[in-house]
Amino acid sequence: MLPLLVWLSPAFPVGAFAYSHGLEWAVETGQVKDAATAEAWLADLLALGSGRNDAVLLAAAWRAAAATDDEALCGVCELANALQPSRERHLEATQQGNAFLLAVRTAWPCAAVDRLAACWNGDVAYPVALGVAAAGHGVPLGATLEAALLAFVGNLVSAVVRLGPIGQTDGQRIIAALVSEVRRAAAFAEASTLDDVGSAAFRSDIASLRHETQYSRLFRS
Amino acid sequence: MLGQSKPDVQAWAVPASIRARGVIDARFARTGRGTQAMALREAGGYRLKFPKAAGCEAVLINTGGGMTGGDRLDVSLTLDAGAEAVLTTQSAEKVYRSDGSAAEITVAAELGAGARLSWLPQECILFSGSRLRRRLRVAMAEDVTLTLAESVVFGRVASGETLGEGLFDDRWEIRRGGGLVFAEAVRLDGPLAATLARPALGGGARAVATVVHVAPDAESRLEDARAALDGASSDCGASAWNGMLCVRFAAEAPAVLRADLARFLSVFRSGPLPRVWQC
Repeated sequence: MLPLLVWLSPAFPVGAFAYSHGLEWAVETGQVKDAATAEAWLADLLALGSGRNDAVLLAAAWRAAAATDDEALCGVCELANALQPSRERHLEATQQGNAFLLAVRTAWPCAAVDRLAACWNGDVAYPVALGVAAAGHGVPLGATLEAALLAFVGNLVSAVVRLGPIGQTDGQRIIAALVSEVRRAAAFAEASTLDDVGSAAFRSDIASLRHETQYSRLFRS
Repeated sequence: MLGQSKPDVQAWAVPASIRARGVIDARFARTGRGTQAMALREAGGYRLKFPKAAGCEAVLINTGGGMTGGDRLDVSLTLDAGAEAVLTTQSAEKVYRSDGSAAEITVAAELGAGARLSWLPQECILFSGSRLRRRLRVAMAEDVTLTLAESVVFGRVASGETLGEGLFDDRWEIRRGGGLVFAEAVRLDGPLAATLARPALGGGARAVATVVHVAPDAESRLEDARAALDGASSDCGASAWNGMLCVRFAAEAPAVLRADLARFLSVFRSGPLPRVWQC
């Protein structure tokens, strides 16, 4: 499981710090304005938003890669790209996924990642890339899901800290408080199939649309 | 005089033997006199009417007046190369309280080279306790112009209905030239009011809408789309990527969302909406 600590560290060159997932707009409008509202927003993404969907997609990619089922893997790649709700979320998912695969192919080569490159020549969304690399290095699915979702939360908490409404300590409290939600979402995804893809994060999706025309921006999404 | 009693929504649940299975299967082709319906099959209480002499504008009518658990509607549309059609519905589609099973709607569209389809149904109203599973699948040629607008209202807001348990499971897949370019998967299952109250989910919204416009010039129309949202009271925004444009709306008041969506569509499409939208 050690590769997860490296791959999901902020030092791994995927550029995660550049994306707020629409939170920059949610902070601008006051939808996220303190620790409680930030925690609630992120809990929603884990329960019925992008966190949940990314976990389902990661699990499907892990299984397809572990089974060397190229057709299924291409189906996951295609669906993960098509599910992005806006231009910026599409960018966030695919830029990080492409960058992750580039770094893994260079520093952590494995057959599963080579196989993905051979069967799919389009963009690869980040959760799909993570799932394939984890399967390729024999990292168990359950641990990968928990670590990926915790990193998702950590990155967005870091974004909210940089945007101002909460401090570092509040940020750490939110991450700790969301561990149980992370575990729940990971357990759900571990037993899921692609039929379980589904969300209801209407406000989060609209925030990513509105972010495109936000006047002053720190983040690319 | 006795006060008017509220209708007992339970009474609308009907036994499986008389549940409806609606079918609309239509093929449109370009002719010397514009686009015409070349083949049309209607069953199970659904009809397709063509109220206008000019242009191909079709209105889908549910003579049963709504759907309940176990009812099905399968809509299949084929537009041959160059055909142009606008489809809407006569009224909002009401989905009544279910006794457990879901109502199912499937819309499948196959769009040939250069075809233009606007799928602009009026809103779907999910009554408290209703269960709806909906699938929308489009297979289109590369140069097709497709405009889809779907809106959903959660509960009979105007009559103050408390929204209880329910299911809304909605999946869209749009394939262009064989490849999946747009997918949407909405899933609300369980206590809808509590879910819709959550900040990143409904944020208190009781009505949502999504418009997807896929066309060769879709991305160049982003500024038009944003201008068409000017003055909207709903929470809404537009984005364009990969030859598609997407607009999303959420509002607490369904009437506000409907007005914003109608204004957006008439400005963005540079023409009035089908007449049925105006009453």
